[in-house]
Amino acid sequence: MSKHRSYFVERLKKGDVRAFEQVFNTHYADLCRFAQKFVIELDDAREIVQDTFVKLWEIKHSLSQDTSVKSYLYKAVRNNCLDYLKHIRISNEYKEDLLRKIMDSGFKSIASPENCLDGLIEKELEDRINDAIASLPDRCREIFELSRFKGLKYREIAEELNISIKTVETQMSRAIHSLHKKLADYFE
Amino acid sequence: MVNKEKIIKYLLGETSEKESTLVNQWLNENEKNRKYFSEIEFVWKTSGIAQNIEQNDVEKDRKIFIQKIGELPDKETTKSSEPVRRSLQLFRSSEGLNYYHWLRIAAIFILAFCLSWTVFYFMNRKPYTGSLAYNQIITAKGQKSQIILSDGTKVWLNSETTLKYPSAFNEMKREVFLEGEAFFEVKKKGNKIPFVVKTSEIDIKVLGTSFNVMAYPDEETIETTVVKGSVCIIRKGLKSSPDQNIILKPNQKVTLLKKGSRVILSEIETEKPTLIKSTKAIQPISPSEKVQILISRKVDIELHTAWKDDRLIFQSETFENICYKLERWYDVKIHVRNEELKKYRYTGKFVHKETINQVLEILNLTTPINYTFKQNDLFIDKVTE
Repeated sequence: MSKHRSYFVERLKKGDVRAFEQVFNTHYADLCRFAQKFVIELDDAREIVQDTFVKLWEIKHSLSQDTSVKSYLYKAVRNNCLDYLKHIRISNEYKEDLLRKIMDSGFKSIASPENCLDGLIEKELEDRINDAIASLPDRCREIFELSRFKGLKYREIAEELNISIKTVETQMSRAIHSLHKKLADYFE
Repeated sequence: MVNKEKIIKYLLGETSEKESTLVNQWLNENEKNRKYFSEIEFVWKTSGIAQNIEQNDVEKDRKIFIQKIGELPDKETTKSSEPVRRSLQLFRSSEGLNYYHWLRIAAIFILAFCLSWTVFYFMNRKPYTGSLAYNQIITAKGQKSQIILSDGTKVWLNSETTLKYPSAFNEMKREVFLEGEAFFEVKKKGNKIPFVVKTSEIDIKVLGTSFNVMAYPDEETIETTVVKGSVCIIRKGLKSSPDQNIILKPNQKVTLLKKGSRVILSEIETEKPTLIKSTKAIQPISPSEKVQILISRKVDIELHTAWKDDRLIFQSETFENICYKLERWYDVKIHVRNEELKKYRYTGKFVHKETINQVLEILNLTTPINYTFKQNDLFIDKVTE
């Protein structure tokens, strides 16, 4: 196994683009999800992970053959996320609040990459949010996702779904009310 | 009056100036209001965790990454540069090793290379050459079938359909080849092993979803309808630009007109289609080519999946099209001897496993038709008064 690894690292060191592509394919989506646990927004996560891969390319010559690329990537992504949050903290007190809440609510373990490598990421909040969103009525969920994930304005959602802006408002309120109720014990 | 709707609007930047002032005043009133607001804000922000990266975006990002590293100068010669030095602290430093160390490392590499090459060659021969052992399941006219693949994915096959699938999927990809119509209920395998249905002109890439694909060689269109989850449609010949891929969500259907097709989309489409707004998804392959893809939202799922429960449903479908379906459904060859009749449209459901004679009798009620069987051939005429 380690021989396989060193051969692979050797290809990375040589700047073999296909080897980098392979690493990217294998880890990118998972790393984005990992980064998302820190920075929440998918777009931020993507940017951080992308930068981390570029950095890996820049430092490829200094990789040693016993390097685990995977744990390097997780470690680097985690550090970059924390840097990002530190930087954000100055400008946005909400983020501080969020970070504290996440860390307090059983998310401490994400600070150590070993855990996530074992697939032991603390998934509770994530699962609960997923469940809460999944349990919304179809229409309500559709509207919520268009707003939250696609970043559409009320007006755009109304146009896209051919409904009134008032309906969008009502459905959004229903969605958030329902999520709020399901996560109520986070706010004691 | 500040209510929940207004708070959410405020959070999303949807409020007017006047409304924003109201919310600000409300926030200043007391701690209870502020606490409520911060809870709603927390719910809104953290719900972002639920957003999953789409395969489409992964591919887009990979392209960007490959492009970026192609533009970067190779830093082989600038080992003392800042980022490299930092990383040297992360990993075992290779400076200060003497000649024998290098020799040992070289020997290890050579050995490792030989070993891993041998291991790769003998163990992974199959996945690497792509020569998986394929099985094939074929349904004849008038037949339907169902199969569970090695990954747990369930497939319903409609009549006259061929599905080619590996007897065991390898770890990197799950690929099947389809000609005909099938309904897939795909088992999710982590986030990185997509399930790909290959048809003559498009690939359909999914993680864990249910959807219907109709890709008969004798039909002018290929249709994909999503029931659950989302799917990514990749048109062949467009591999170089992943942003031309189409992502379909539940209750959406994409209709692709095959090359050289004579049909005009507006004629075949009866479900009040909405052309997708972003033009990127409907970019023709070449400028001379007409737009060949139509995305319909809010389609009636039942219409497209009823066949798997033995229900035959038509919605404003031309007689000609209905005949194609009946041919496959009942294993007959239909000859319509009236051009006008072919253009008539019918809506109806046959849910009690009617025989072809019963179906024809019911069609006869709306438009008087004459039909005669000659063995497996069915001749249909319009009755003219």
